[in-house]
Amino acid sequence: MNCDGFKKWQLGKWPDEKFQDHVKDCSVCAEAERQDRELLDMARSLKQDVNTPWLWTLIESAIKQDVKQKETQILRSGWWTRPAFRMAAVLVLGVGLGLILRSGLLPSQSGILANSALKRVEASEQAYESAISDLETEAGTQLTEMDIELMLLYRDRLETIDDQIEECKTELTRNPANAHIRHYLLAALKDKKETLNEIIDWAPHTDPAESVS
Amino acid sequence: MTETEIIKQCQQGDLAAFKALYDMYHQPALRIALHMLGHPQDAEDAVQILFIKLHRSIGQFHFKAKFSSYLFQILKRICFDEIRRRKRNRTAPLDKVIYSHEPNLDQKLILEAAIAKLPERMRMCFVLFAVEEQKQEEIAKIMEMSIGGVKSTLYQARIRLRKMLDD
Repeated sequence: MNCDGFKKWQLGKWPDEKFQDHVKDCSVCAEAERQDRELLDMARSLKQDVNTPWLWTLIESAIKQDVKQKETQILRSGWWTRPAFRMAAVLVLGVGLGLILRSGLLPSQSGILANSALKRVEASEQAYESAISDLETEAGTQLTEMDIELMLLYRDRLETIDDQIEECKTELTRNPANAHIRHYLLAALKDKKETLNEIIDWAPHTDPAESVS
Repeated sequence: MTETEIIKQCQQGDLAAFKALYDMYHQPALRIALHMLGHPQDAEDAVQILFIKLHRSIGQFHFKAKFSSYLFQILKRICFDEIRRRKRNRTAPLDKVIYSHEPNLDQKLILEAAIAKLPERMRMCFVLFAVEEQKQEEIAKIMEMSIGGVKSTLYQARIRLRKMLDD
């Protein structure tokens, strides 16, 4: 005799109550449940501690070495190449933009783009947006391959940049010739393109943690 | 001290707090890695990498998920990277387990050997669920799968294991 009640319950198609009612009258499912419980009990018995008294010492020394290496790296590499600086630059741009928008100051005459200049700037923006759209698919795939911490860092960075792009665009719908906002928008688009390129160039085995092991 | 407080201290660079976190999680991490990789040395290497990576990334943990899910997700990636590396280099056979093959194996050893024969994702789902007693919702987060996918994978795992144990 066959019955798929147990399977339906396991797959979440039947709620617990329905299965418990069913099992009272179905010996096939009752036996399947009994065997399952036996299997899970046996599996739980595998939850035993492994004796590794030396493991923490190895980890602790690797962490100390890692911290030391990082400090040396920071001293050697230029501060402008560090992700923290890049994030800070994005934030400074954002704060600057925010101040301009919130100050309510209208741009001076020199801050307003002439028609021909406006067209040139718009063409640059479109070029960036088209490049970004091409890069986004590839970068998305690459993000899923990354270590979780790096992926979260890049995702946060992209979200921050996207917020700024959005803020600029909203402001530009009111005042399309504002040179300051156009400048910030271009900088944000450039930053997004560079970030996407950085993600695409990332290689899975360059993670220094693996060299520590 | 609660887990949240310990994590916050770790985020401030407190190595003693990090040791407390290690004490809480290294055993389940070792067990999972051992089931995934088969060799105690590989499992220890994986756990070592796990805690080094965790030390680097703990500042980015924003308490939006359960910490154990965050930790086991990193471990899953480390184990799968190692399995991929083995496949690429065709090194140690993936089904090689440390357990001996004596005629009088007790049920536990038979079950361990059977678990080692499950496909990797299925194996990790089963170990998380049945050995480490993680909830299906958490397994879905760790494995980056839907809950339906987890339920179906666990069902298939149990069917296969029962068949292997019966044979």
